[in-house]
Amino acid sequence: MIAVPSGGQTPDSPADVRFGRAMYFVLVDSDTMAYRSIENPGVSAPGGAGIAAAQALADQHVDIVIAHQCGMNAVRVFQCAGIALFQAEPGEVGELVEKYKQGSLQPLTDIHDGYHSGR
Amino acid sequence: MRIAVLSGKGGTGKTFVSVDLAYAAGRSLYIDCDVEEPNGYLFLHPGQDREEEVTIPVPAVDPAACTGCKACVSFCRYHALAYGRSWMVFPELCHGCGGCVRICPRGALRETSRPVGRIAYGNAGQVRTRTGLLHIGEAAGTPIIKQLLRDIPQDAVTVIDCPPGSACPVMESIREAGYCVLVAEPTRFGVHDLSMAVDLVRLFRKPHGVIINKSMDGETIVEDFCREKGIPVLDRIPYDPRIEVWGRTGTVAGASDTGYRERFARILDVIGAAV
Repeated sequence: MIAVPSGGQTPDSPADVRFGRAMYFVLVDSDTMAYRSIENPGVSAPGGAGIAAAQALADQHVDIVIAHQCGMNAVRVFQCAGIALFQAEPGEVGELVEKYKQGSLQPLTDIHDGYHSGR
Repeated sequence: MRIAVLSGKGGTGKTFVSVDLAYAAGRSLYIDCDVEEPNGYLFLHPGQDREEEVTIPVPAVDPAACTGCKACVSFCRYHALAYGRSWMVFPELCHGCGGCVRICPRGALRETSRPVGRIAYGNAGQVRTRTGLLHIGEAAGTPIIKQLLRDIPQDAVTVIDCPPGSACPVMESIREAGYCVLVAEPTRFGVHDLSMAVDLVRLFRKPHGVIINKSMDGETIVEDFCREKGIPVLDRIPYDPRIEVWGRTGTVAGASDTGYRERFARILDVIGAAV
């Protein structure tokens, strides 16, 4: 199962540049291209949004996340859950999944420290 | 008598007023709750008696007992816990509430302690001092402030030098106060943040008054605000370039000029009559 953060709920929605604060995650089965979406619990979190979002994806047994950027805390959850992270390019969720299947996406390695404003 | 000194806006003269109130009071206790950047000690030069560590509880897991039910993960509103193939904690997000330990159905979690800062206890003549110091990289100073305000003696004037702003650390700092002194400067920004500090002390139903610092002739912006809100003005301290020099050299104003000592003694009398 592949997850992509998005403002929309379908594969023709563009991928969101944010991870922890994206409205939804579109979950796509890369074999059948069947999809569904989940709300991102990180949207309403006062802090720890990336962790909450990553936990929700782990709970859905996601294997692959394609994102434009991602913070350190979420990456730690992915590592703990065995989820691989790939670098998104501008485009729709469905296109990114196809690119992943073709093997043209790179692993996401530019991890930021988080945009934590304190509490 | 416990007096908290706060301001809303930073740089209005909280520490100047706080150390001079403590100095003018004679036998007193000065508590520096500005744990991110405590600076009262730069004026009082206390000799240090002892130091104390401040810790907060943080959970640890017994992996053999954890079944991965995630009850703790769902419970933690700060998202300090996660569960992938194993349990994990983000200590810097943990507020130390202890809820996860209590909610775990298998008793797999226990509390360990994590140092977040320290408190230095000292003496500067008749003024005893407590200085809170948040460790670098830590986000929350409130556990240190809580510990700073424990066991305050009843018999001496206590001056609580608050952090700037009007958020959680300030709320924690004024909790034990019997009177709140709001230090304001006559600028629009100063009045804006003063108004937020006033809202806070009123929420906590604390008796309060304003000291206008760096007051200038003909500038009435703070007076106008206080009149409108019905807040007593305790004093107007005229702009005095010597205070800037004393700030640089770490000198209590009242120790350099007895006029300041008398001024702050009068303010203490006014506060004493109000509480």
